Amino acid sequence: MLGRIFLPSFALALCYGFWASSSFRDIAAGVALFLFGMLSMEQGFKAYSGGALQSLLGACTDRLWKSVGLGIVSTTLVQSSSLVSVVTISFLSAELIGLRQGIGIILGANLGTTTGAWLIAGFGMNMKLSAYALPMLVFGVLLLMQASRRLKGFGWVLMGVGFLFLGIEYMKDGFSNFSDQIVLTRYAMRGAAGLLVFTLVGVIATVLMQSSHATLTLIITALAAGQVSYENALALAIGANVGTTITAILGAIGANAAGKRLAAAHLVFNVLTGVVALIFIQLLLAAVEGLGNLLGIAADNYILKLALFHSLFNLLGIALMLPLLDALVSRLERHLRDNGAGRDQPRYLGDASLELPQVAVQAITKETRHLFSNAFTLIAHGVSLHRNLITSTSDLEQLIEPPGKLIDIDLDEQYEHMIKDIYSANIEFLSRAQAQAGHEFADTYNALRRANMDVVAAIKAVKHLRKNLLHYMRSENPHIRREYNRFRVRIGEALRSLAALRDSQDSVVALLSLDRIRVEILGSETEAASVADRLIRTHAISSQMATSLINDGGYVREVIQHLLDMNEQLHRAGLPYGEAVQDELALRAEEIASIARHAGSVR
Amino acid sequence: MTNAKLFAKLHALIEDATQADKKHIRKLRKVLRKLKGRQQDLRDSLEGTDNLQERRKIEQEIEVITLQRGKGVEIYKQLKRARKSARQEKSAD
Repeated sequence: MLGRIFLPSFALALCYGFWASSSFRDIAAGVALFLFGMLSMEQGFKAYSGGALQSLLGACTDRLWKSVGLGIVSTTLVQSSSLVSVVTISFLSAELIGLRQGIGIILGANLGTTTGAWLIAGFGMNMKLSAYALPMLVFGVLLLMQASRRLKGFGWVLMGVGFLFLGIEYMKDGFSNFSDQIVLTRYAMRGAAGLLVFTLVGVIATVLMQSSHATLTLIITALAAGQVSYENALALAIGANVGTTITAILGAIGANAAGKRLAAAHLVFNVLTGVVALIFIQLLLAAVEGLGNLLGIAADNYILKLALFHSLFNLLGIALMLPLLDALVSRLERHLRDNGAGRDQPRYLGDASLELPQVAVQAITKETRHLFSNAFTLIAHGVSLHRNLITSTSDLEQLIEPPGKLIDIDLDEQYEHMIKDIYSANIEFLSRAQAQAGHEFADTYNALRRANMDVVAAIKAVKHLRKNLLHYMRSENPHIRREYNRFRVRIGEALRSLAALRDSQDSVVALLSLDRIRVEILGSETEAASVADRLIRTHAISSQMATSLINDGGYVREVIQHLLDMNEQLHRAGLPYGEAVQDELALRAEEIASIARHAGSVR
Repeated sequence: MTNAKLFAKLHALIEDATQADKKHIRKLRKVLRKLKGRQQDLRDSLEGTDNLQERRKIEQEIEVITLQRGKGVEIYKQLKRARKSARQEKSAD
């Protein structure tokens, strides 16, 4: 609703501005080019993130100071705290890093973003940037036409920098022409009211442009053209720092609780820093003067002083936040939780994870494991086995003779609570991720989709099996009871073997281990079939029991086969692109059958 | 396309294939080493197990790994042979 009113009104206001003033048109075009440049740079850096960024994160976030350092360096390199914060949210949502590390990166990103002000203030105002912008655009487009993803990425970065430079040039021209027509400093406000009003203007401008970098460039160019007073420019910079949290907040809307916590921490940090800067502005100004003298900044060079102020108050914010970090983390973890009204919800998926294919794969792999973990419990309870019995080392064969103990659950209700939301979210996420990713991820996403479908198919087969199982596992007839208990044991053993493989670090070895499980399963299946035949021949069970036994044997096979397939797909998804060793070493069906037969004859 | 360019492209292609082979051999060796380790562990635990059921399971797994290792070793030898003959052809040229 708001968007429907806001967008046309804003467009109308812009149209009026373009008609009324050519300087306004230049400034607006400068802002648009600048923002487009940032988008291009973000697009370019995505080609280099993912795998490399992930390994960098692992090595650089084990200590808080390293996380802060990573935030500073990465934001300085990509010149976008928004990109760094959105990527951090995606990493956090996929649990590749913890909240503490995430906040560390955000703190660093806040300081890193101030380097932009230094660059623009130091070089941008004294150089003719368009002279560099145009060749960059030409080379950028040339690289964009290349097939290599990395070259294309570099092309986007070059284009991005080119557009940034062009945008700054337009803003500079716009403001210098503007100063010939109107002097905005007439509207300058002094004292506390001025601080508050211009801080608010800075917040609004950054929320609208979703880039503190763009706002700051606008402030610096306006300050250079004498269109805004130094005091008001400081307030605008404080406002820009608070307004920049909007990108993280928008990024966290589709994220899980972890992502929301980080966005909340970002907001708390920037608002706190802003408030402290406003309260202690005189002290900060004195510090800027003192440091400015030390650094040799001329007394009337307000642009560099603004950059210094920007860095100083962000540094102050970090100094204030670091001692409060643990308290903030525990508060956020207590207050921001996943809510699903008793239904288990996806833990690792978030819109932010979709930005980088490697992170999306990690997130959906973890979520599929989460789904399997829930399915494990559901299948175990479905065949009246306790989860801890399966994961223990106790001999499951001892369950075969005595009447089975019933675990009373409503399988449909449990499916709704433990599976449905996660399964639906996984399938939706996979469809969206696959649409965004390159062809090299197609096999991985297909494998993960099949793994999810196998989990659900296994549960459905348990549902069919359960009807007779609950009846016959407690039957007075020891023969049929034994066979149905054997079904339970077979499923329990398959779950046990697969659970042992779950934490395997090497997907190739895990896939090869599935051959051993296949042999075991085939062995028990053959044994069960021969026992059933004997029972039918000797009339130890009735004909109704016999048909149930044969049909339900099929369901048991289905459950186990789907569980095996699910694990196979999950491990295949973890293989590097083009890996084939597992297929070369894997046993063929006849080899598996031969080993199973040999074991059967020994028995 | 000039002959020089054609040869350069061909060379790059062959170089890529050599790199892929090297990677393949490295991975194969790593997996074979892991399988060998697992097989040894199983043999050790077989000696300390009296339970027949347990022994049967362990023996089965040993049999699976033996077959997998056999396949792996054969592929490893083939790859090595192919690399050796490629090197010899190159030096003969």
